[in-house]
Amino acid sequence: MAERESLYAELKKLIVETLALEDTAPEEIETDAPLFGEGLGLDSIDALEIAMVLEERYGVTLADDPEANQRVFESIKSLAAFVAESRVR
Amino acid sequence: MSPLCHLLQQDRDPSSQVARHWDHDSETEQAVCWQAFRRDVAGLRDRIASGPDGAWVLLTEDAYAFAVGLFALWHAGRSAISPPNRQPSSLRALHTRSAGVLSDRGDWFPETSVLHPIEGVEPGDPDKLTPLQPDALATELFTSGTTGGEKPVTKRIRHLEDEVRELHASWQSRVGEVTFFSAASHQHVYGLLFGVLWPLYAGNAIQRHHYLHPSELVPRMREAGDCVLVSVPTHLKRLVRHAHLSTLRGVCRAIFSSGGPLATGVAHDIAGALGTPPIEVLGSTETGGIAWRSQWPQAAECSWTPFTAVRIACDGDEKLLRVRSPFVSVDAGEKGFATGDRISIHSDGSFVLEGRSDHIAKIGEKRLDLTRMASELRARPSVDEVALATIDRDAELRVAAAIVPSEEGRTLIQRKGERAFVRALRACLADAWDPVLHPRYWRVVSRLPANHQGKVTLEALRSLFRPLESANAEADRPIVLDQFRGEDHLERSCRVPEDLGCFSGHFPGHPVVPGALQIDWAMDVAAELLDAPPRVAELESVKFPAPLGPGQSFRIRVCNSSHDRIDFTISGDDADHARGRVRLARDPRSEL
Repeated sequence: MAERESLYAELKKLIVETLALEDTAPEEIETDAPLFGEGLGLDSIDALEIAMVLEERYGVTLADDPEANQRVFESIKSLAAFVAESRVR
Repeated sequence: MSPLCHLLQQDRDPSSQVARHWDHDSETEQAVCWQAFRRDVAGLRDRIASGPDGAWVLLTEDAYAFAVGLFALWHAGRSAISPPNRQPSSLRALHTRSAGVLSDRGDWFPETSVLHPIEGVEPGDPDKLTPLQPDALATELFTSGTTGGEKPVTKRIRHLEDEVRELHASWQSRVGEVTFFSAASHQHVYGLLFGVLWPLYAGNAIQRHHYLHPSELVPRMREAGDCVLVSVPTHLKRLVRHAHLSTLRGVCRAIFSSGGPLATGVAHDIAGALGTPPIEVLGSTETGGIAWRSQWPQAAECSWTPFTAVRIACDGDEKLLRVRSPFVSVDAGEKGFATGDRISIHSDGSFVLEGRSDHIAKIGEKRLDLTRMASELRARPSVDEVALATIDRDAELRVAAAIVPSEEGRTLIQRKGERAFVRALRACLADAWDPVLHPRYWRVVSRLPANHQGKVTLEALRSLFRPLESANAEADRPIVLDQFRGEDHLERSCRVPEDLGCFSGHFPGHPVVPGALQIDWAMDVAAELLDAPPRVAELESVKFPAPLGPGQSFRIRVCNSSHDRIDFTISGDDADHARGRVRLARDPRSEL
């Protein structure tokens, strides 16, 4: 469980750094909050960028299923579950 | 044979493929053949013909469902309204003035009944379909990024038909028999022409799904065999980072790019991986295609070649590109349609782009009217003044906003914090603008940044955002938030970057800004106050009462107390971090 917690923190840091979010500190991102729209307010360009960085960092490949990807990108929690399950590094 | 009017009368092999997709349940590739397409169109046409007359909203996820919907509407004597985005307010405005809604996503239209273009529709008899009239209304399109309240751009069948003919003549011999993949939405003119209508006419299969992630797209393209990619700069910029892009060499016959400028580096990287650079297309919703180019790695300057049917001119002092062509579907007058692009024309008729002239920005292939967004923000009771600019970070344009809060806004900031204030402003944009267009960078300031003449110029505004965290950190400079100039003093509000270069050695585990650096920062302010770097003769009574650390906000105040003296203070909310006095050396020139 501690492992998952540290993956949450790692992903939050990765998102803030990748997107150069100015007004958000990693620890301020809520694990359950939506990443897009109402929550962190990310957009479609951000989603592409995050997908690229996840692939480069963890070797995870997103399935070619938009509905599934929407679920993956729902929150830090779902993103972490996906990375933990499919990472190769 | 005309490309669109007689498309469904074409005598094609009934089993030739029109569309392909990957079926997740059976894990197999599925195809729709020519015969099924004709029957789908005929069946839906009958359903539409029994419904209301006029323009129908057509919005789909599936590119094939879009094609069926479009031709069924046309053959039923109706036209389409093609929503530019899925913002709820846009959709509501459009469907309330439409005859009906065709969509494969009923959930996007919670307030009205929706006809699915394929599901639940009985196949019809395609031999009953009669040719289309070139002058019939085809579709209302919208310039990207705008709201439903904007004036739509209406295309007749002939506008689209002429352009499909031109694309076919320009590139069909190069692309041959292929599958078309598109990352560009068929709801817009570029994706509609390149991703749907041209391949349909040419007998090339379209991939029904828009693959956006390179890791999804590249394997699908490889499996499909010979293919073409219709893409946009935002996606191509990511595609070049994909490790296996070069496996598409010899498979991908051409990549098209439109919707915004493609960075030269990206074009060259694609040429390196695939052997040929993308074909970039310049165009707009109003004009359709204007010109094209390919940026080859060895070529020096790369100019644009107008399409054969297009006449261009360079107009007035602003050197605006004007366009006359059969594809222009708005009333443009004798001189042709004026775009927002400034150009210079070469003697051979090709031209180079020299930037945009107006307040219209292009973000992520979407067009944004900065003036409209600024007035929307200014209309909020919490806001006094607004200035918007685009800034380029990592070769990607984003919107930046400088906001002067009103009395009400200041109270809100005091009670709930700056972030809540910004979040509320952002929320008021959400209904009408695509999230990509929302300002990414915000500065809450006490007055808008002005140049020496007191004018809010683009340059002054950008300087507010220029202090990039990393660039500043490398240069050991603070992030400037705001500045005020008095008669004999200058005060600058700043923040210490989190990762200032000097922190690594000063001190391990306990980073503070060194005193010498604080003096440097004060001298930067002095230089601006004096309009020249101060000639320091002596530092007097310098003190560092409290340490200054990463992320802290502070003010530097420099006062020119007498002709040979400046005083400086670096202060936080609770304590001073540095203060001192500098005796200035005499300026040798003043003794002459």
